[in-house]
Amino acid sequence: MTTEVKFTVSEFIDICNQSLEYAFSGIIVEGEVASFKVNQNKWVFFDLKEGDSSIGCFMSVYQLGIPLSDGMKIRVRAVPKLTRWGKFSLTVQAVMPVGEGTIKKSFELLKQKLTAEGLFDSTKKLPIPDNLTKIGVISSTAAAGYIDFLRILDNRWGGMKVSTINTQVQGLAAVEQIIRALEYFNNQSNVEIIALIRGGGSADDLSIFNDERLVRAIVASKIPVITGIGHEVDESLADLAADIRASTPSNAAERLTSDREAVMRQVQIRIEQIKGQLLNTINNAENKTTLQVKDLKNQLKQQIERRSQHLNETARVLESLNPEGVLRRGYAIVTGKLSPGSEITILTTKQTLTAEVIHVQERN
Amino acid sequence: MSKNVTKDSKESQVSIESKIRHLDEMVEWFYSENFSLDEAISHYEKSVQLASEIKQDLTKLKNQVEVIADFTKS
Repeated sequence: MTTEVKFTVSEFIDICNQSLEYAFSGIIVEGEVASFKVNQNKWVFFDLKEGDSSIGCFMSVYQLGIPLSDGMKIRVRAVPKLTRWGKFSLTVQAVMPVGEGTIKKSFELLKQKLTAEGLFDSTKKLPIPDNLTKIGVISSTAAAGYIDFLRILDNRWGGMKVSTINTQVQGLAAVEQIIRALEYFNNQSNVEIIALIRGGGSADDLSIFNDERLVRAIVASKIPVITGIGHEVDESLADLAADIRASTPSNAAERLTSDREAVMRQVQIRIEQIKGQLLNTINNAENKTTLQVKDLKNQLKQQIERRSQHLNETARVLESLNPEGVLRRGYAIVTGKLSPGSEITILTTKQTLTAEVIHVQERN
Repeated sequence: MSKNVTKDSKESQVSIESKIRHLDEMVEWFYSENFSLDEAISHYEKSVQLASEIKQDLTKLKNQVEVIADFTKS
């Protein structure tokens, strides 16, 4: 015998919702947006279509991180629900664009809106402190980008405390986790900078970094934020909102640290510099001393030459005064009384003559 | 524990920076009016010693990495 169970309408709706929640909590559905509208600036309604199939969706404006319009292809995380009026719909918790066209369109629309608000103004950028010692990292600890970031950080510098919050970096849950991590660092830590790190990926994977709520959370951070997301060519709105945009996770590590090898080279250059200066000074002193010695020698030589010359001149004068010199030139020295009949002595260079004076005549 | 490590990290970095500043001052001395050849060798030897200490300190510096929260699980 079959037991008949009776429900009131509200009880039946409740039990349906309980069953739906049990069976399909947090399902992911992809489709194209149709009949998009916003009511009272609070509630968002749209249909998710695929071919002939369509399902109504509902969410709050706050949860909508990207601009939506009809025709965009999106992926939603939602809970199916039967309303009090018996209408079946999806209560959407998160939305992300799917496909290059939608992602690009969503990116351009939101960039335009947030630029107009001044969220990307350079005047809003916070300065990065020098000599960082406490770094906060938001990333997936299993991601290659995170490993690269830590490796480069270790290679380049040390002595820093790196505090990491593990979050998803792709998918519908990632945005909320990253925003929570930003709030955590701002409210419960003393890190000096927050690095938002994610390696390369497809446009779909990276699209979470174009979420409006994430962009606003980055701008609101009182701690400077650096992004190292994807590759050089990937530019996200999170990059534009960050205080510094690094092209890759490795580049983020480079931007935050000095290179210890470069510092060592600089230290060595300083030593070589003073070594050169010292050797130069010693050489100069040596050259100066050599010149002084040379100068002394020259002075001494000149003094000796001057004295030698003087001596020679004196010798010549003395020589000219020597009577023997006069005799050698043919003269004779006469001694004795110079009167007729007197005997005189005549001295020549070789002979001594004795002679008698015969006649004396005075010269005029 | 982690506070101590942070303090040590900060101190070791400050110490390296302070040593680099000191080395800069020693280099400047060689170009200053205070330079004297009598003291130069001693200054040079001290500079080389300081440079060696800086290099050693830089080599020893390690980062401390800690996963402080896991938001993927909640």
